[in-house]
Amino acid sequence: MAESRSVSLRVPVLARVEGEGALELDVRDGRIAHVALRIFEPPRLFEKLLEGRAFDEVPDIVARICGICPVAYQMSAVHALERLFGTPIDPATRALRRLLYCGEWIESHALHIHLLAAPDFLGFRDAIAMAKSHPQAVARGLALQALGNDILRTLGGRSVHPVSVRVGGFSRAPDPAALEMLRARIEAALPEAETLVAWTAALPLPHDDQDFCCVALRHPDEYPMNEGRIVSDRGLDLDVGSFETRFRETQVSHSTALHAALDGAPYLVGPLARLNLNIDRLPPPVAAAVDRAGLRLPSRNMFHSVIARAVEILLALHEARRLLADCTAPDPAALVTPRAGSAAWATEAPRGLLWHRYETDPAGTIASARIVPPTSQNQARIERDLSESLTALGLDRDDEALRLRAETVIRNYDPCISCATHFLTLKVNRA
Amino acid sequence: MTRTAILGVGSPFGDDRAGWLVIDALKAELDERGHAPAGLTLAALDRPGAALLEQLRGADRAVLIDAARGAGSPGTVARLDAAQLEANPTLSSHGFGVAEVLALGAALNALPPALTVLAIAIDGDCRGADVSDAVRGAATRLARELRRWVEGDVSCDRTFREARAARSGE
Repeated sequence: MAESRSVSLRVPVLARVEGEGALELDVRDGRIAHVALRIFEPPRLFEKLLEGRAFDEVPDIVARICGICPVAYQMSAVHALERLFGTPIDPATRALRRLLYCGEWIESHALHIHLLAAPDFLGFRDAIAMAKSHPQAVARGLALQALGNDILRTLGGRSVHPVSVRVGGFSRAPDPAALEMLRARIEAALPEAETLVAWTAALPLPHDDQDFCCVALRHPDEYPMNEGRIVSDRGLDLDVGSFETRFRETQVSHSTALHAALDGAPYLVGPLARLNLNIDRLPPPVAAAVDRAGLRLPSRNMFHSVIARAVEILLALHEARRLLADCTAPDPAALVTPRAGSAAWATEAPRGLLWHRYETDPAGTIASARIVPPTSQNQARIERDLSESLTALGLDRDDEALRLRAETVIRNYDPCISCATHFLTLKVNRA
Repeated sequence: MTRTAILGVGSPFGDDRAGWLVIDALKAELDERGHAPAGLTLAALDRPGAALLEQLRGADRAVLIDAARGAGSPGTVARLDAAQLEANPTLSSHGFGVAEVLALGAALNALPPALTVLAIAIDGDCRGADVSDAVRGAATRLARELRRWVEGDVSCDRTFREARAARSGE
């Protein structure tokens, strides 16, 4: 190259209710001199907010951390507290909790694929523009999202921040007639989800294999949602209670959000990591759909995350069908006997591993809480990905091409901040 | 039977409850009279995002009520058309606003044949749970107009002109 271009790309602070994000990129002498994703994570405030609260207030408080994945926060919280108090959970309650989680995966993934990610890959400014050319795909996505929301509403009382989840079980059993209606809709949605897997696999995704460490839960005999050990593709196999022995959160100067590292290195959580680590836990019809789509697993292409989300929608529908077929009324919520102590739990939020730890006094009042959300865990990985992806794309590309690829990379992780759609405005300073 | 959906969009915060208050007041009006017209759906929705389209599905006519900043002095009721609802999806993320959802619905040809958006002007300060008297009064009056509309089937246009006249006549 005759001359090396210097680029200083600044995506300024972005203020939206779900959070704030910003991107900084400096290129000098044909190399990336600086790349930083700045995120301001609201969940940090909740840990202090929980102190002094009764244990039975926790599910309703943590649900408010996220409007897209409130169930994940409730599930990690109630399991941690039940572990702490030694509260037994009956099989029907366990099944309904998994069904509730299926609903959340379906609505969250359907939203991300169709409204947030697909426009990037198909070359549209946003989902509204995309809907004019791909109305069937967008309508399918909205219908799947609505079904996911209705599963939440049926089990949780409402589709956002459900209210039926409590430590020890459910405050109210779902209406059998409503479950019957769900069963029919889930049956009808299965072929739609199969089509969706094929559709995502046919998207013109960038080819960019990278070396990254996948981390997810793993369960002896099912695809992980509410329980499992924390495993990685580098040999990690850890009880959820030992998370803090290997995972560290550190502050970085460019962000108020914590960066997480596994043994000092970035790692990936979320659908692709989950799928890579749990291929053998897919029900046969879902594994067959993966084969038909030509997706080879484990995949090192981060952009396959969009296919992984579609696969997990199909999986969640199959699981929901199975759980509904065997569904029995849950026991009334177990009587909880609080005690002093501390315990941790992790579940698989749509965006990845969500780890909670609670410490209580003898009355069950929260003395301390720690919540490690997936987006914060992925932050260092996103920065590494930005660096590798933009280098692979070619740093001599014009600013618009660099910005678009950078945004596509960030959105591909479905970070739970406002950067999930084309909100980034760009200011470029040329040296 | 004409299927009518009247949807109030809002959040629990201050005057942003305006749309919900209209639905509450309309339900009370209909309850008082002991019957609700057939085919009528009323719903108060908390920031529904794209799920709003699901709520509109199947309706022959729909009225959407939301609070709006910059729509005049608090309590003013304005009828908005599509051009006034400026969809700006570039500024939105997970939370699709009403304007974006309606633009998406239009692109998908998934909106009811007759759709009216009514904005109740608020001053934008939505802290706390209190609703201003101006907005509460506007919601009550609008609910009364809407009740007459669903019962008497007078034209939508006329109803909402009356709603505005009632306000400006004070």
